Amino acid sequence: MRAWVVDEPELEFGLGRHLDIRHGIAELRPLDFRQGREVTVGIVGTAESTAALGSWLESATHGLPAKGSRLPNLFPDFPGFSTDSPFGTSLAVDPRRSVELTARQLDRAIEAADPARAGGDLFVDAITQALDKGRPDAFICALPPELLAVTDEPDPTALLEEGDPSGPAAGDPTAIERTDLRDYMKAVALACGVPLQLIRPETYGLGVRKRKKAEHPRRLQDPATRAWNFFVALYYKAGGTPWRMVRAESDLATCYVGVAFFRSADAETVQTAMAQVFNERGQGVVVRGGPVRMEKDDRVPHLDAEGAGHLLATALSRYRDEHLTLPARIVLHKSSFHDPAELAGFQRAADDAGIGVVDLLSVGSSPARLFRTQPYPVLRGTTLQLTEDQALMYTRGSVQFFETYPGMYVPHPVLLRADRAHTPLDALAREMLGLTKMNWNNTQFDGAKPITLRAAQEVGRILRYVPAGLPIQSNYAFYM
Amino acid sequence: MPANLSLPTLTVVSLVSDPKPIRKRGRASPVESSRPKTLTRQARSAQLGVNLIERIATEMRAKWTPMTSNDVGIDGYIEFFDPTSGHSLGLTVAVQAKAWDAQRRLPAETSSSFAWTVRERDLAYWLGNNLPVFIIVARPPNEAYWIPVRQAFADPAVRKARRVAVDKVGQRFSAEALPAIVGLVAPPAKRALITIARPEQLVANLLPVELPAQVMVADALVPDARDISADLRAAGSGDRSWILHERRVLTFHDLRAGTWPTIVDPGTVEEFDSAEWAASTDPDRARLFTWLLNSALRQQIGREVAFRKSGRVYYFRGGGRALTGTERLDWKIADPATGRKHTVFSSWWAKAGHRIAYKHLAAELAFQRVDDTWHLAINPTYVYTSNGWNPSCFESAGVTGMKELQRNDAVWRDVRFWANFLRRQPDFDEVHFLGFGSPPTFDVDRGVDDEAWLSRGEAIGPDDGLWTQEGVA
Repeated sequence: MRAWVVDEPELEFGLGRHLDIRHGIAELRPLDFRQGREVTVGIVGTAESTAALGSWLESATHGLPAKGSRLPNLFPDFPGFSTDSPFGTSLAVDPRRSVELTARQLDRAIEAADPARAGGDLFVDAITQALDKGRPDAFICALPPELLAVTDEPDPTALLEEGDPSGPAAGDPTAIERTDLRDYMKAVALACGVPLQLIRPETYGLGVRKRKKAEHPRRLQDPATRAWNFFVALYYKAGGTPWRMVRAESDLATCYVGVAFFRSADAETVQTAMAQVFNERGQGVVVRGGPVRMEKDDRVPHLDAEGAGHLLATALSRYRDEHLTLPARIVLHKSSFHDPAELAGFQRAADDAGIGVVDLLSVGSSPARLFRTQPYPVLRGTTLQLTEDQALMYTRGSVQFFETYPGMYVPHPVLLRADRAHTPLDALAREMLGLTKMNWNNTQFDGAKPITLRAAQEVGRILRYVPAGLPIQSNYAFYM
Repeated sequence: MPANLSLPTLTVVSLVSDPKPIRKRGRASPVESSRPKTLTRQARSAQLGVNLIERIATEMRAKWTPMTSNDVGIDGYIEFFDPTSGHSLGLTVAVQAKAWDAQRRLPAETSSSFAWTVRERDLAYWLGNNLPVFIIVARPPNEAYWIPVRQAFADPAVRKARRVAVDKVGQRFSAEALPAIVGLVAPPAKRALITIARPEQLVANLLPVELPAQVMVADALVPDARDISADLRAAGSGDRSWILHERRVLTFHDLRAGTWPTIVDPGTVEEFDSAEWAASTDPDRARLFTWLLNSALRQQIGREVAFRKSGRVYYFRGGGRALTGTERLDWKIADPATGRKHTVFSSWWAKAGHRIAYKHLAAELAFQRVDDTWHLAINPTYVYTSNGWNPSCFESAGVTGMKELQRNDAVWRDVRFWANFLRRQPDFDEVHFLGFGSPPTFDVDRGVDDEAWLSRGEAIGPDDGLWTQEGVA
């Protein structure tokens, strides 16, 4: 066993490189900066929520000050979203494509048997109508507090993680699933062809009316950071590329793939989801897989060889559509280990496409931990090689740039296992650390999971509401 | 002289002009006029001082640029670069160099400090400069000290006296001073960018397991594990370090001795090297072996520690007898290695002195095979009971509360306590099949300046919402 610390990888922005996302954009502009760009949005909400959202957007686009703190690198200002801001992009709210929901419509949804579904349908119907008048870059949904008060509860995830004790067992008829408002709404909106950006009342200025038995009040980041996350996500959804990973000239053109499994909402079948990340433009493409088998003994789903081969072949053909060439290398991240059938299937698809360098990795968890004996935990980037093909890596931890540990208790490392790999383990670990910074929803760069896996899981959460066989959007912007 | 010129005779050329009397007002000074050009001692000393500063700046991967004319009080500039990557930090300080002879005592010098006085004119000039100004007192061959003028003379009393105390350790100008210097003069976004080599030692939460030599297997004569327990108890042993699987008993015990020949069929007893079982890659065997290890563990710590199946968590008992719910208790155990008392059980109080539950130090203890060695991973936690063993309805709130409160060093101390407890020597009447080695340590070259971070930052509280990225969907 040996340990080392990987230095924080840099990202590439418009005018140079920086290891921090918010400072990178503010000082060096987004990667594809173009002065005078415009993002048009339609707004959907109640009279109250749209009015509050409107004034929040008005003030946020002019900039929001940082939370007063002695940690200015962790809590920077939000510089605004306008032609003069570092984004170089202005926000145009189109009133013709905005819809106001009536109080009666909202009440009907709240009182329905499944308020999350009713609320989601209500919003999407409104959006579908607004589309008659034209297609904005995105719709912003100002979620009303009254609706969230009935739909907000901690919900058991339907995603199956290896050995996840909280997930309902497959085939368990008593596993009743609560509809998640956000996931359902995005699922139904796929047919509209315009990405949604949801925004909570705590962000745009209305509080949430708590139910009497709310156990844990929702904890939100500070206002400037929430503005950062909102506008960067919007910039991406409107077709922008805010940053990308730094690649050396000598690096092979790589296609990164994340594979996750989800159980459909009717709890009948277990299917695969997949997300893909194109590094060069940071665009993500989604591919849906077929049904999977579950082992009787353990609740870990696996693809069969044919399913695995088909999934990867589809991913590669999408890559070629985008890039007009096949990649030189494939890196595949999966949350459960690759069994022999999956290894064979993925390998065959890579061989058929003539791709020589294939790295098949599983990203899971382990009870092993590393400790400093001082107040602050180990640094993000600390890696412990356990065996020749397994390494424990801290993707959360103390962060030198933030001058603190921005988390609670002690961080949990991820276990990276090279089930079949061409590239050395330490290079794979360093690459994974860089991939944790590619989440467009999070401008605080110390994400726990690589975007490959995170994106696949996010896509799964939404696709579980879409019956198999229906066409889906392939652009990741619809799922984030 | 040109090379091709040949001299017919030897000629002595005088290089010194003939002495001429110099007429000074009132006095002739013939001695002075014949003195050769001299490099004074002060000039030499000053040059050595500047050389030393340049050398140290280079050692810290900074760049020293001298000023050519030295009549306004700035002798040079130091520009700083990231010591690891060499990237420019865009940080420059102006320097007033002061050479000091190593033989001479510095003003008010002790082993740890000295005092430095400045002139008003200089101080006013330096404080008004847009660049930060450092006075560097250089004492060749190797000693130098840095005084950041703005910060050193910030105190009005010090400013008025124009005299400041210098810490010979904290203000030693050397390559190691780079983080402190950059920390002082750089804005936070630059300060936090530099990567500094800071060697540290990390400890894992893994204890290597020392296995007994043999594992024994035999067919059971009774069908049920409960029957086996009953038979053992009847014979005076409550031992649980065995497992029953498909009617076979697997254990570290000698199945030929004691009561065992009445519980298993002696003719079927097989003995294996435990190393063989430990190294097996067969998943079924590995599962059975883990089960056996867990049973042995539960047995050897069972006196003080109970096991709760849901959550697979081990926790220190409350003392044995049923607690009625009103006692104010706590139980501390001395750490077997350090002797320090560690609280393993206590009453948990709501506000206003109303006890609502008992809090027990707990841990998830999981056997893991890493390479060829079995390890036990320790992840500490807490359980809450209403009476010493029934889970309390306040448990989830209690555990969340502890996780919000505990910092890394507190969690580490719990890990260390568990490790030392597990490694303790058994009492005379105890059977310990499993031994535990000390947790492995690792040297890394990147670390954290805890003191600087603690002094600068505030604790990240639960309301900072940093543990969930919410607000945008």
